[in-house]
Amino acid sequence: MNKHIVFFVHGVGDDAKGWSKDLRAQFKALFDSYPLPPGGLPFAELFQTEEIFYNDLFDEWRKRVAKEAGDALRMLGDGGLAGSALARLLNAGAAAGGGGFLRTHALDALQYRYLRLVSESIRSAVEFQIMARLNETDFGTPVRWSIVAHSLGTSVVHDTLHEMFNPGPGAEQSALFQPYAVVMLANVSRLLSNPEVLGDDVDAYSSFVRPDREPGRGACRYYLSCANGFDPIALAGDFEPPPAWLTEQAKAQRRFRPLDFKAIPRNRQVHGFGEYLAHPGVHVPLFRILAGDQDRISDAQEEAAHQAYRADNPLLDAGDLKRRAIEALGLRAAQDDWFERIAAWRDVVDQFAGK
Amino acid sequence: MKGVQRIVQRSAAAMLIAALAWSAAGWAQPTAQKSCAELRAELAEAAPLTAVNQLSRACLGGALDPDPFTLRAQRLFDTAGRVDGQPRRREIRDVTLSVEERTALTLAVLRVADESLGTLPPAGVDGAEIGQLREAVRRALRDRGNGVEPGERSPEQRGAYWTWDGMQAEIGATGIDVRAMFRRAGCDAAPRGPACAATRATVEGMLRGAQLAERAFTPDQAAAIQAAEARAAARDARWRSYFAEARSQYPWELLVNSWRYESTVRSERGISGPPDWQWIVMHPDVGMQYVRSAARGDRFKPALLLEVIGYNWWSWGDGHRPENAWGVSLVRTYADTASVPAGAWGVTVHRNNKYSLTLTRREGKTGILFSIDLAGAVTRASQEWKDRFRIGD
Repeated sequence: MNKHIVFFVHGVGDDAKGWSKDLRAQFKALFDSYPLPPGGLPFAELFQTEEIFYNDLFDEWRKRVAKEAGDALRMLGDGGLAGSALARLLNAGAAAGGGGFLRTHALDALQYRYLRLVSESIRSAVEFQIMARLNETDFGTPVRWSIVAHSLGTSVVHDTLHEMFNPGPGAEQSALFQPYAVVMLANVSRLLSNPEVLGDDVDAYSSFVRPDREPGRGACRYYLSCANGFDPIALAGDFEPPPAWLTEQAKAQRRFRPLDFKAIPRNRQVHGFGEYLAHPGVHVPLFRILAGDQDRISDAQEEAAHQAYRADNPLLDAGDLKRRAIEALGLRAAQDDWFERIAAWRDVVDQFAGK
Repeated sequence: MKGVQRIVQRSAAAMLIAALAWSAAGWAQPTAQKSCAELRAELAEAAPLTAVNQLSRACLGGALDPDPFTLRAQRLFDTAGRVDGQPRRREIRDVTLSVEERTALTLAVLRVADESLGTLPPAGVDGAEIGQLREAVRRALRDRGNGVEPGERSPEQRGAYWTWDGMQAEIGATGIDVRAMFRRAGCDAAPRGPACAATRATVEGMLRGAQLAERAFTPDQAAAIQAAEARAAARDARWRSYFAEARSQYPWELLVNSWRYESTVRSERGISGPPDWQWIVMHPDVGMQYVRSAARGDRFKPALLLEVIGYNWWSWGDGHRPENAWGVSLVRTYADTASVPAGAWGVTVHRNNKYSLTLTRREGKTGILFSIDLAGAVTRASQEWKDRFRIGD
């Protein structure tokens, strides 16, 4: 029998293959921290978690050109050409392979948005990793899968799913294997949506990535969009689809779940992947939907989880300097200036991830 | 990630304590898979909707279900996945069926679903829903047998039409609302009354029939997944080759090529493969320059070159790697020479994204520039070979 496959998709940063090992273990621990209801199946019998990794495609061309340029510079040594314009171009190539926030975070987001060669290769890689895993499922039982994406990963997943499942050429028969739930944490799919990729006048509110019972009307059955009110990136993402986004039936069936909350975790990482999942306002509805069982976690258990979370992560006083700094970042994120957003992103990473 | 781990662990621990305080019963997570009989026993006191939802995971047409109809369906899948003399193949990627074989398997499993539903009491209080479900199965049988394409005219031929959704308490797109059935049977007021028990048994049978019908269309799903995976694998391999084996690109070249690529794929739907070309723009490189007419010490020297503008193209080979690549660029070269001018204009020809040969002209003197790869090959060659071509000091 096939288990429900849950894919995890990273955002920006210097993630390496295997990046999700701890996250997936913690996801399981969270699920198992709730009492098993009578007749309920444990995590291991319900789910199989998988990692999706695409960061290498951001880095591959940078590292290659950096190596070639570096080799060339070394070959030239300290000769008379060192200060020439050509040498400066080589230096620019060599510098592309370096680290630092601008290259590992901001440049990744800009590459994804503006370098179609990079973004298309990333969508191709994500599609392949999904399909390769689905191809390994048991023959003769229906395949069920969901995807949980964070930050830039939400844009990657949105665009990939639109291209995979938007009916027409390139998506033949794809209605037969659509995802069950699409879960977007700090959703920037609208902010980064690119009509050149999605099609003329198509954005995250008019794409095929919307929840519906009918595979012909939407790419998934459930869509969860989660935003921490203190997270500048989620505030910049500002994912609030218009009423026309859903059919009346999909609205009645609550196929879309906007999961908004306001919390400052003890480690102050208001944007972290794990921090989002750790909040009961996110994982309780998520676990219920993934398990297909509204009663999987009772209302009393949900309330207890919220109380425990609040006790462990008390909200800072309004006058607290750290809180004021976080709120200031949120105000900046509401601006429409790209460089300002990138700067805010860096500040989030620097200030709240211990860098 | 360590910080993430800490906070999740803390939250999980806090919730664990809260949950323990809330309910000590039913806490321990099982270590061995339970049988359907054990699950049913656990669910004896549960609300009927909760019970059928839990049983739907594996006990109503699923892997643990000991029901004879389910076992018959499983045998059909086992047979389809078997090749003589080999163990049964389990995974989608290993099972390749022809269109005719898929149709035969789908029809056979649909018949099992139909027979399974035929055992339910058609004249009872839930007779309308049973009849509705069975009629849908028979429409699917008829349409598949007559070669009707799945789609709007025949939605029953899609697995999603039958998928049980525990959140909505409805059987796919059949329009059957299980919550309403339980309400009608008085399950809200008397969940352990005989009417409710009878409806629960009926719903279990209907879910088994629906899930068998859904499984009947898994060969279609498997074929679609296989085909999509094959396309995606080829595309991904080409993209990786594009970045690893085509000529390297500086940031500004990637920008130019992205703009050009975007204009070529704008009208395409779905995820596109990589181009089989690249523009070369202001691309710095190094090579070994040979100018025979230069003074002896200037004849063979490292040189910088700038490919001002160029174009490189290839075809994709069977291994999804660039093959038969050719490229040409207008270049400006610079070498630290005294006996001949340091700079010269020239033309570079690229071959297979690896070897480049540049011809330059300066004051009527011809120079040759080898790419590093080509120069490496040259310098690895025998001294005799080098002497023959008078390369070196």
